[in-house]
Amino acid sequence: MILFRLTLKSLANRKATVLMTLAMLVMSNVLLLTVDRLRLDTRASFANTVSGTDLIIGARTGSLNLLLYSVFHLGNATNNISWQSYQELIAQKEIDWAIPISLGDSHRGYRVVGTDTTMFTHYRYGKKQNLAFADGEAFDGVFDVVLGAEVAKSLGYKVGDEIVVAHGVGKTSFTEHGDKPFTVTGILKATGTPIDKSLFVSLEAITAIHVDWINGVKLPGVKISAEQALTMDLQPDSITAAMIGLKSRMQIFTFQRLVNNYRAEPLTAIIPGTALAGLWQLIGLAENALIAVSVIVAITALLGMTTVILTSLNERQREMAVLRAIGLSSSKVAALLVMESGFYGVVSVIAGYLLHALSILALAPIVQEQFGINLSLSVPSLALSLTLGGFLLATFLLGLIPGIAAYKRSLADGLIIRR
Amino acid sequence: MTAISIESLIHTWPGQSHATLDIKELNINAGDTFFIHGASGSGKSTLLNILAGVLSIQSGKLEVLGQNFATMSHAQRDKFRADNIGYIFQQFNLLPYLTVMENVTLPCHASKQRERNAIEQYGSVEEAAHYGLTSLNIPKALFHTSVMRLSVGQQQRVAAARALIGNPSIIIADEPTSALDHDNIQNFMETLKQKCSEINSTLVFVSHDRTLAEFFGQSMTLPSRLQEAEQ
Ligand SMILES: Nc1ncnc2c1ncn2[C@@H]1O[C@H](COP(=O)(O)OP(=O)(O)OP(=O)(O)O)[C@@H](O)[C@H]1O
Ligand SMILES: [Mg+2]
Repeated sequence: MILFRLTLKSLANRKATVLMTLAMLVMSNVLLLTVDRLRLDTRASFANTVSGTDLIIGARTGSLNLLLYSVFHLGNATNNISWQSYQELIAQKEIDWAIPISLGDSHRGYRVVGTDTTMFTHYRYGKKQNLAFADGEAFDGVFDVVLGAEVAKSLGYKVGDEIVVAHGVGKTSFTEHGDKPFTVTGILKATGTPIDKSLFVSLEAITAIHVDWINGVKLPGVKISAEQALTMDLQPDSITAAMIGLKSRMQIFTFQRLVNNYRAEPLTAIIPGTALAGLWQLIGLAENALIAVSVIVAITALLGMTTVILTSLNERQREMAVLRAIGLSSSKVAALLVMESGFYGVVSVIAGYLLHALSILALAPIVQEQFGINLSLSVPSLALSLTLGGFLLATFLLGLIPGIAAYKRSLADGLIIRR
Repeated sequence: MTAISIESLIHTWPGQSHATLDIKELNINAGDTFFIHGASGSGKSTLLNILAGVLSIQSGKLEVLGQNFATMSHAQRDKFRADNIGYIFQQFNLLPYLTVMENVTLPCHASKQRERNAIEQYGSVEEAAHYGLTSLNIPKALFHTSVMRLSVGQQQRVAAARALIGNPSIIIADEPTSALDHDNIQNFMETLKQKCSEINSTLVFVSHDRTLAEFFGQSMTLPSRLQEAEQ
């Protein structure tokens, strides 16, 4: 008990050094915790985005590529599926439901997804949850639009507002379909997935806004008004991809083979879980690099701490001699240094966690907006808990280095201090 | 009764060709005040470290309060020192991060026996410390301040109060006056002697200053063996 109080008071007497050393250790803990959180939440964000979808169908392409552009809206499709093939495929007896997806337009940086109302009845995310409306309802007319939660929130739209869709993706797309504005009919509840950052319109709407465009360029002199467009045949020629639910999961592989061998045009069907595994492999590399760096930083901080304590030994010779003189044993003097080192460990892990929590709370909205990753506050993963435990243990063990040095010195020199 | 008895005690520091200490015989009676004079480097501090049980005996015999140090372990000698010995250094006796009171009561945290003695005599460790500090002329206002605000003379008197608390049988003082001026030395010596006799402690005091011998009942001189060896 007396040792513990002496340790604390002695540390309090060396505030500047102690605070700097703590800062170093705390930062290394924050890094460990945050990298771990980022890693887990990135995976969770990806894994939560599709659930309950058996297959994703698109033009022939790499499975990871198809997954990324169809579900995560990362990158662009190189090819489409013809409407006819799509119709043929979903007419198969194995099909339970199908959600068509038509990408390529945007609204102020947010993707516009052409689809049909199965999106709102059959798309599932997270723990097999359906989409839900925070306000309003699904689109009905051609020029109706449903907004993801974040789109509505950050652009301040309400049900009933009119918006204009731009061709192309990205914030700078300037060729707007200004002659055909859309009316907001519904706003979805937040899902923590790319859905939040999307606008949903009917497939017919996508066709309608493109009737006077060819190959992405507005036809000069041709001007078709919204009213005229409505009278035209708005059946799409093609879609970008489709998410499919089968009647039985047993049929997944058979149906996948069917799509992959489809004769009319080259198509790809992927199982989301399998494609995600490919994604993990890719992400794994980056993760490992980050983890390695944060572990090296932690080790460096631990070595720095040991150096600080070792250096302090010289100026604390008097302190040690006084403690020896009042009858403390050499091992208690050593214990004092181990406790000091352990104090750094315990305080830095706790402070590191608190600072990590604060920074997560502060950064979560920004990260969500920029990268679509939901940072959450939660207990560290098992691996990280072990790492932090190892860190704590290391502080105590490293305390043995100055501890043993002081022990040996006190036995060898007694109370005689030589400079 | 003899408090300390030495027979052919030799101590050679590692790496040195000659013994720093070579004492044929020395007996110090309980309750005596004993002065050891010696030039710098004659081994005064080395001897006191051995008497306090901090350094192990290399050869010869040493009995302190009837205990044979040669047969005791480090831990046993540490406990013995905590219980029976008050130690005063030349300077920097106090832990800078503790208050005056915390410094003085420190030995009572290291030794149950001294804590018991203090409580038996004064009712509590704090009372014992108050008494000790007051009788060593430390103003009450300083009791709870940081020791860094004390003058050197005051620091040495606080160190004496710490050595004396809980009535250890032996007080060992390693040139505690060398940082003090003449008047302070007189004052310090008188009070220290008086306090030791109050609690029947044996006082072993070393200094290179021969004139201090007048304050003591008995004295001896440590030969400077290094110089002898060189001659
Ligand atoms: N830890 C040590 N290791 C090696 N030699 C030491 C050690 N401590 C002291 N010595 C040597 O022992 C000799 C006596 O030292 P000691 O400190 O006992 O002398 P002293 O009489 O107390 O001197 P001073 O009056 O300067 O304090 C010196 O030659 C010193 O170099
Ligand atoms: Mg000395």
